[in-house]
Amino acid sequence: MNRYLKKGIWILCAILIILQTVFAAFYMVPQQEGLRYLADAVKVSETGKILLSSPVLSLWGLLSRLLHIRAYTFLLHVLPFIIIPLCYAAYIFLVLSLPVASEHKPAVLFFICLLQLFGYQSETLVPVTLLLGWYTGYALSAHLFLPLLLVFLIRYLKKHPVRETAGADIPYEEDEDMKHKYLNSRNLGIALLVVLLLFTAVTFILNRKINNLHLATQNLQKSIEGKGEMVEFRGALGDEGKGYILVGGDGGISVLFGGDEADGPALYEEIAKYGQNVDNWYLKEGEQGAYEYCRQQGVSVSHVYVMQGMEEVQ
Amino acid sequence: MKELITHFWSIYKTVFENGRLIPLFLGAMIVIVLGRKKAEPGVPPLLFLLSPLTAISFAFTGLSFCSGPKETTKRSQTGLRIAVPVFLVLAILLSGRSVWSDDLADFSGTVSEQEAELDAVCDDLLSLEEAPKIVASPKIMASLLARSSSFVPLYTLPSPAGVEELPENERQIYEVFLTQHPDLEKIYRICHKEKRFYAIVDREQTWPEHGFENGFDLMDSVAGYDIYAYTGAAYE
Repeated sequence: MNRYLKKGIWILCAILIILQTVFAAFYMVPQQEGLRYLADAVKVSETGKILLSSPVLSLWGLLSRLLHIRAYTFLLHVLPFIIIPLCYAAYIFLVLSLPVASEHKPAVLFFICLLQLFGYQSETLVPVTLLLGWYTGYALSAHLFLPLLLVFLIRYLKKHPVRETAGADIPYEEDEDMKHKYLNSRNLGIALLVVLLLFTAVTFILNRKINNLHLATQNLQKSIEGKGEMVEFRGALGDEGKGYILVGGDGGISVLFGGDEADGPALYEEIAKYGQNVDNWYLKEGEQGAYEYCRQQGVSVSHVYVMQGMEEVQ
Repeated sequence: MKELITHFWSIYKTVFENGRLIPLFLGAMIVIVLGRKKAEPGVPPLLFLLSPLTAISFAFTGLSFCSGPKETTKRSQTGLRIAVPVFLVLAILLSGRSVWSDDLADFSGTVSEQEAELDAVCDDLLSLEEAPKIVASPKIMASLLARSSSFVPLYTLPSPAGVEELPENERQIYEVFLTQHPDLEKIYRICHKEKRFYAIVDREQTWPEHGFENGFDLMDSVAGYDIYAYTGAAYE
């Protein structure tokens, strides 16, 4: 590659990095999924208490508290100038470490800039996209820690170059080891890897099942409560069961019986706690005084059922 | 550990020794995607993810180039070095979605105006109560919760894949505010036990219904947002 072209690509990459940083700080439309993570940092900033479930966001929250900058402003408008260049510095370390010809290295960095520009894939992946979710732990893991990890791996491989051939220069003991058809270190290494992968997969699947079960039971109580409630109406004097008010999960009201006219005011007060619209009212034949009173007070009833022929069986 | 890496490296070299397999695989994926595109719109993000993996794998095959496998000629090396970048750029452009799109970037200054408006809504609500209970569309809710932890949401803001995990009541409230005409009667029926809460709507995009007859009063209008307060006062 031409020397000037190489220099030009480095300069282009520098311009792209600066533009991306400015874009993220001033022109990015805050995404709903990204803002959801930001709320943790706001909580830490305002209360000063670290959230162990969000260590990275807790760090930003504490920093904003220390600097007396509102967490929202700090994370969305100040932090891009720190995080994005830092991530690209890690990428530059990675590019410089890669075993490619030096003339191709700026092209690799340009490729990485292109990846970030076209990196948005879905709302779910906003926290991982550098230019949308730079303040999340996921973005830092993917764009800062992962490149640095690759740098260390490449440097390790360079310091400990792998043997090109096996055979003549292998020590006698290792040669004997490889002679065995099945029980040799290569196969054992592969078997260990397979076992590790299986174990990881099983752990992942079990963990997911346990988490789903936990979520299901966590919401079960709320779901049961959300299905509705039944309130017993004890009459004007509160000494005798005169009826029931059933409130559904969607807020719909049904009333069973209710008593006579004397119980009307008390029943109306109870019903009014849940609304003025009753979907269904089941009346006992000959006992409609409370119902009439409530109607006069403005309670609207969609359906009225009169139960006839009821007799005591026990 | 060193022995393990040695064995993996020898397997890797055996499979990818001449460096042709990786870009050919990526090229094949692109051809499949181009063929699929006519029948099914939308490109799977897997192709996008293959781009950096392919680039890193190809960079590692540079080691095998340095060691000079005999069957790899200079001509094929040059061909690969041209083909791989072309494949990578194609894969990104075909499958990546630009961060610079209208939904994600705003250069007209509208974003800063909206932020200032939401700041004003936030300050207005916090001036009324120390911990106001709020209900709004997911976008407005996320914006307000990102400004102050004092707000108490009437439904937990779900992740894109977590809507089904919401409790029944919260899911119903969440779904009400996904529409352009949120039915406040439904909100009232679910939340009537609350003594006081606030519903915030974007006046230019959302027009709530059945608010006044169900105990909601238009308490304030801040910039482009209306704040409805539920006090249950209509039935006292």
